[in-house]
Order: sequence, then structure tokens, then C-alpha cells
Amino acid sequence: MRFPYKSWPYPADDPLFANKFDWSPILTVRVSYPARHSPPSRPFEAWVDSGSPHCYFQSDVGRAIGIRIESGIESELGGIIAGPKCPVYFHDVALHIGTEIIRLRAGFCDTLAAAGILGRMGFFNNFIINFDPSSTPPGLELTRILRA
Amino acid sequence: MPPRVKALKEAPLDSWVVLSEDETGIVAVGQDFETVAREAEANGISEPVLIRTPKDWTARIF
Repeated sequence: MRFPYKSWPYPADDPLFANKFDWSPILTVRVSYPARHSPPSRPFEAWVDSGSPHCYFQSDVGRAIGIRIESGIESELGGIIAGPKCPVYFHDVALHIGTEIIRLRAGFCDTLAAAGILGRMGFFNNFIINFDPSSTPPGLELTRILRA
Repeated sequence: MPPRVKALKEAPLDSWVVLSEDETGIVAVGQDFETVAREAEANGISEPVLIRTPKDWTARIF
């Protein structure tokens, strides 16, 4: 499956980035909650991020499919810049990307700066991923890893 | 600059947003995921894709 990157704004008032934008590896995904046999969520945009150990989603997405967020396994989430950590709650969900469905344990957080983050456990360990910058827009090619 | 970038920069910060199918404008916006999706459907989008805008447009490391 090949997906084009999506454009994303840079800060307007920053001389480094003024009136520029970034092509970003953003995928349209859905999540569902097999424990409740929920239908998949509305589609939403999630960032592909190899720096993230897990997949994370905005709590709103989970609540929309019937997850009681605070009942999950509690942990904390911080960023690369020092600052306050925020609580995150892990639940077993299914991630829908194109025609692929992956079961994973994902964190839900009220203050995530994006709708979703696709990290190493759950996303990168299930696909061979080719980041291809040779076209405009660049593209992302995913090949599912099938394990016996 | 792609129209999508202009549309996103015009959207309220820290909100759920649905863009038009050609990504040139905002169709629905708000604080509730499901309400924004329904508003987009009412405005003619058959399968709304929700985007979360950040609190500010700082260059971000995820």
C-alpha cells in the first residue's frame, strides 16, 4: 500500500519557516475496540513516528467507540522537550489502515498534540516501511509483515 | 503552498477539524470528535476525516 505524505503548516512568524510547509508522513486510520465489538471509529489522521515506542491516540477517539479511558492500564507520557508528563491509559484495540487490521495495545491521552501517533509497538513492528522522498509529494509504502 | 495548509492555518487551534473533500476549506470544527463528524456529514461530506489541530503551530517533534 502506498500513501502520499500530507502537507502540514509550519509556524508563520518564524523566519526559518515563514510561509513554508512540511510534507509529513500522516496516514488516515481508524481504531475499533474488539472487547466491545465496536465498529471502527470515524477516520482520522495519525502521524507515523518511529521515535514513539507505542501507538497513542487522543482520548476523544477512544471514547467515541465506547472505551472507558481511565479504566485502562495507567502510565505516563512525556516528550523530547522537558515538560510536564501527562497520564496515558492503555487498551487493547484494533488499528485499521487501508485494508489491514492490526491488534495492538495503544495508549489514550487527553492532551496528545495530534489525533494519533503510530509508533514502534503495533505499527512499525507490523510493516516494512519505505519512506520515499523521490516524488512530490513524497510517499510512504507499507508492506504487512505476516507471521505464522 | 497547498490549499490544505492554508485551510489548516485558518482553523481554530486545539480543535477537531474536517476539511472539504478537495482540502481547500473547513467544513466542520469543534471540540467534540463525534459532533464535528456529524456536522461535516450534515454539510455534505460522506466520510469525514478528522484532523486535530495543535495548540500552536510550533515545529514539533513527535
